[in-house]
Amino acid sequence: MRVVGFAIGSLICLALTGSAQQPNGKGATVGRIVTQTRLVSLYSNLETQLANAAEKNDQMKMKELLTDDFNQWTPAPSGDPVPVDDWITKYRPSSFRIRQMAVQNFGKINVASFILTQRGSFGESPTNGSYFVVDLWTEEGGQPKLAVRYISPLQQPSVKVSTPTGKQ
Amino acid sequence: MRDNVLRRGTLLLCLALASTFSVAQSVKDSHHLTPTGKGWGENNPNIPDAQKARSVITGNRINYHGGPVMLNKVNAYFIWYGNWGAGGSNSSETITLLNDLYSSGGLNNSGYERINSTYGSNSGNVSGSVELAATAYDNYSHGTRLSDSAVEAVVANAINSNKLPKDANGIYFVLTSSDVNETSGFCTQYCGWHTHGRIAGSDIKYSFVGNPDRCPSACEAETSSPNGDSGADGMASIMAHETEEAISDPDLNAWYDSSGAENADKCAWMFGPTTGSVGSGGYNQTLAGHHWLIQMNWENSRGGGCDQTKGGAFYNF
Repeated sequence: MRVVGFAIGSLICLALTGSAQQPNGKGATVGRIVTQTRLVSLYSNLETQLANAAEKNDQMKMKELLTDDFNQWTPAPSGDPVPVDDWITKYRPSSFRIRQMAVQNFGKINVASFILTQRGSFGESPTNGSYFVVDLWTEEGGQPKLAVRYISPLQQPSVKVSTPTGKQ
Repeated sequence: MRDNVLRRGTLLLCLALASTFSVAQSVKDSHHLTPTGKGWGENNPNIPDAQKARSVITGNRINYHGGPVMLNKVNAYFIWYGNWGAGGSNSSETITLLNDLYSSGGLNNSGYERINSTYGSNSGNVSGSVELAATAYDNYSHGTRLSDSAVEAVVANAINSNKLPKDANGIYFVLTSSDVNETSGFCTQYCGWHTHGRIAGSDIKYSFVGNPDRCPSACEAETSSPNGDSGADGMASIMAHETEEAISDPDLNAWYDSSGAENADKCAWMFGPTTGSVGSGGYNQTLAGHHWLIQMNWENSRGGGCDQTKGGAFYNF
């Protein structure tokens, strides 16, 4: 019993210490503050527009940002992709946050990868949590459109970042 | 007996950790803190309230977190890494253009640079004066693929070998030719970055900016640029951005907003109105006899906003 009490006390103590370090957020590690690329700036904005449209159930805006044959792939069984119409009607984030974005350009294809932390649902299923997302953006009529999304849940719980981290 | 020892040990550990906790929490009260340069600020009872209120202006959608800013005239040091004699935008013309930008008639005390004078610490405000003090060359001492630590080593080598003086009120720019990659995300996540580190016993501020001809779509706003040198024109905007941030947040604990964005981050890739079109030689600054297209900076006054010159109009494009 004493041992259990000691262990609980230590854990509470350690938890408090961990939270105490967060306001500063730097610890002993020196980060670096980056100037994000023009493409990261552009696609961060587009991804935000898309998620905002989904949040507001603005299906017209969502269609503007998606190709006609957009689909989403997940590792979940059955492995079938989610077609565009299902995605538009079922994907409803109630809040979201995008971080750690990188964009690679391959001619008219831009590949955006990022961590998406969200609360919300897909149809009847809750989608609360953090996901690693890879989006393939293409161009149609000079307008960027999302053609494919690959999304997989993160194994580790996300870390709230509220101070400069060196990553956008 | 052993339980007693354990209990006393736990109690002592908790007390020690609780004192750490209270220090960390004190960062939240950022209005009356004196920078320590150690990552947190401390209350200084010797500073009169009037001075505290005067020195640090807040309430403009960017927050002060207690750390130091770079006061007085800031010295810039360029380390030209790689091959800057290869022609094109890796040439002596490129070097001359960027040297001019950091000459006394360039950014130094310009309306653009004085936007930064709206930032300060309890010790005073940023001056708006920044000028190139010395340059050095590095012929691929760490090859063509640099890690973050290799960038720091390049700076350390320049200082330790006396190619450049050690200057805690300086910003050391590692400027790489377009055949050099920075492997932690240059061209995919960032076009440049700034940080600080302990070099030769001093807190040295340094920055990496790569030649954006390596990835024009990611790091250049214009394919046809004001000076006809896409590398220099692209680097100019990123270097100005890093300069403003390094001065206002040199130790990464002074000025940034609730999302972690520093002053220039809040205006990244926003230029405001230009003479000519962006993409075909448009520009928004004329400094040292050249035209430049330079990202705006966040002014810490009038509610806050991105502008091209101190006291100018705010723009969100």
